[in-house]
Amino acid sequence: MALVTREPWPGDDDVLRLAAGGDRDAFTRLVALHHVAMVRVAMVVTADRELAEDAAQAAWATAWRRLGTVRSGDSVRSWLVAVAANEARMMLRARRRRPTVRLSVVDAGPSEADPGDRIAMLDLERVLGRLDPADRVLLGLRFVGGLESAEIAHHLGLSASGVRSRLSRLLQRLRSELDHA
Amino acid sequence: MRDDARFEAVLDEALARYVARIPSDVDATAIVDALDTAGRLGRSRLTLRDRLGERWLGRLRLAAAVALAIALVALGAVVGSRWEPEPAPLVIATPAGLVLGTDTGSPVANVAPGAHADPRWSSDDAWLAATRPDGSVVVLRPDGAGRVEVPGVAFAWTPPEAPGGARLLVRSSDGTVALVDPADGTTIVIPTTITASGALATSSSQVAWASGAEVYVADLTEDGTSHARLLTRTPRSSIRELAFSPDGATLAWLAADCLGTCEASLSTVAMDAPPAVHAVEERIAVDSSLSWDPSGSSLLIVRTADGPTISLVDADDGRIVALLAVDRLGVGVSARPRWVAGGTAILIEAATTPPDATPGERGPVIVWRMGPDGGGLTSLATDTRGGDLRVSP
Repeated sequence: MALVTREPWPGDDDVLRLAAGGDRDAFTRLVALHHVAMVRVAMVVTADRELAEDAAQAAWATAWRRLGTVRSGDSVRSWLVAVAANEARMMLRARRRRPTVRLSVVDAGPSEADPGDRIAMLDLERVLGRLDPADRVLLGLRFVGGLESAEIAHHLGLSASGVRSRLSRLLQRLRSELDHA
Repeated sequence: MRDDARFEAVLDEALARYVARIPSDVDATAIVDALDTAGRLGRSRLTLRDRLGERWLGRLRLAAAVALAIALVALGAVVGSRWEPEPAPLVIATPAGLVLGTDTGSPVANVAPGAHADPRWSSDDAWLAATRPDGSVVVLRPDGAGRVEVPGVAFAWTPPEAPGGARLLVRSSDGTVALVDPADGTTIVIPTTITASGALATSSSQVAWASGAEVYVADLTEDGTSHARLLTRTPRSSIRELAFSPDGATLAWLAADCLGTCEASLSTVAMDAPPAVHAVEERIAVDSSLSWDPSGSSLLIVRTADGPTISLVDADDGRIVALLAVDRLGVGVSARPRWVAGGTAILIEAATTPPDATPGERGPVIVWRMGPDGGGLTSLATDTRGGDLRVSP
C-alpha cells in the first residue's frame, strides 16, 4: 500500500498569522470555521435571520482589517463572535432609529416540530425581543458563543465580576419572564 | 442553586434550538468573494489602538491624563474638565464635583460637577453613588454616563451575588428604606411601618437598618425583600453604624449615648441566634466608622481609651491591635477608617469637627491611606466630603 502523505492543516495560530498577513486562503478557512457561530450569536442579538447574516458579513470585513490586532494565544473564535455580536447590536440600533416593523419575525421552525416546542420557541423569541440589545449580546456570547465571563469581559471592556453580576440578573429576569410567558 | 443550573441548561438547549435554523453548512469562498466584490477587503494601516488594544490604550490615556492633571494642579488649576477615563480606583467628593483619581491621589477626571458627599463604588465596581445636599442619591457609571437620581440621604450597596445583583439600599429623609436598581433607578420600597433614622447595612442575603436604638432586618429577594422584622434593641439611645460580617453571619453596630459627654460601644449579634447580643468594646469614638476586616475576624474602629486610636478589635474576645494615633492626622480631628476592598489598605477620612457641630457632623475631610499594619500613611486628597478607594485594576 502506498503511503499517502498529506499536508496537515495549519493550527489556529498559523491560520490567523497567515490571514492577518493577507493570505486569502487562510482567511477563507477562518470563514469556513467560524461563520456559522458568528451568525448564530448575531441571531440571538437581532432575533432576525437576515440581519444576523448581514452582521456576520460586516464582522468579516472588520475582521479582515483588524486580524493583526488579535494576539497569539487569544481565542480567534471568541474574538470573531464578539465582533459579530457587536456588529449585530449596532445594526439593530441603526434599524431601531428608522421606522420599522416589530423586531421578531422569525419562522417557528420546521412544521413537523412539536407544537409545544413551537410555543416555547415563540415565548423565548418574545422574551428575547424585550431584552436590551446589550443584554442579548451577553446572552449570545455566553450561551451560543460559549464564552466564559472573563472572555466576555475582555471583549466588551467590562470587569469579569461585572459580567457575572449582569448575567446573573439577566438569567433571573429571563427565568421570571419565561415562567410567566 | 440546583434550580439555577437547571434553568441555565434548559435555556442553553432552547437557545441552541433557536439558532439551529441557521444551517451549519457554509460557502466560505462565496462569502469572501462577496466581500471582495463589495470592496470590503481593503486593509487599513494599523492604528495605535490596533497595536496596543483597548486596555493598554486606555492605560496610556490614563497615564497621559495623570501627567496633565498634575501639571494643571501645579498651575493652581481646579480639576473641572471632563475626560474619558478607565474606571479609576479612587473617587473623592471635592468642592468641584466627584473626581476620579489614581490610587496615589492624582486626579484624572471630574465625572459629576457639583456638591456631593460620601461617594462609594458599587461592590462590582460598575457604578458610583454619592449623596447630594438636596436629599438625593446620585448613581452613575465611572465615565459619568447612566446618571440616575433618587430621593435619599444615606445608602449602602448590596453585593453582586445578592438576589438582584448590586443594588442600592437607600434611606430617604422621611425614613423610608428602598432598594434601587442602578441601571434605571427602579425603586422597590421595603414594606415596613418602621421609620429608619440611622445606619444601613447589607449582606448577600439581608439588609439592615437602624431606627433609634433598634435594628431591623429584611431578607433580600429578587423582587425586593421580605417584610422587615425587629432584630434587636440596644440600651444606648441611638445606633450610629451597622456592618454585616463578610459572610453575613454576624451584624456589628456602634451605639452611642450623648448626655453631656458622648459614649459609644461596639456590639455584635449572630444572625442565626438573635437577640443574644455580644458586647465587644465600650470605649469607641462616637463618630467612628465600623469596618470588618476581609476575613471577618476583627473590626476596624477608632477607640478612645488611650487617646483616639485607629484600632483593630477582635470580634470575639475584644483583643485590640492599635494601628495609628489619630493625633498624627492633625489636632482636633475625628477619623473614620475603613478597609479598602480586598483588604490591601485602610482608607481614613479625617475631619476637623466644627465647634457647633451636631454629633456625627463633619467638616471638610482629608482622605488618607495607610497599610494594613498601620504604616505608610499618605494623604490622597484634601478638602473633600469623603472618598472611596478600590483595589487597583
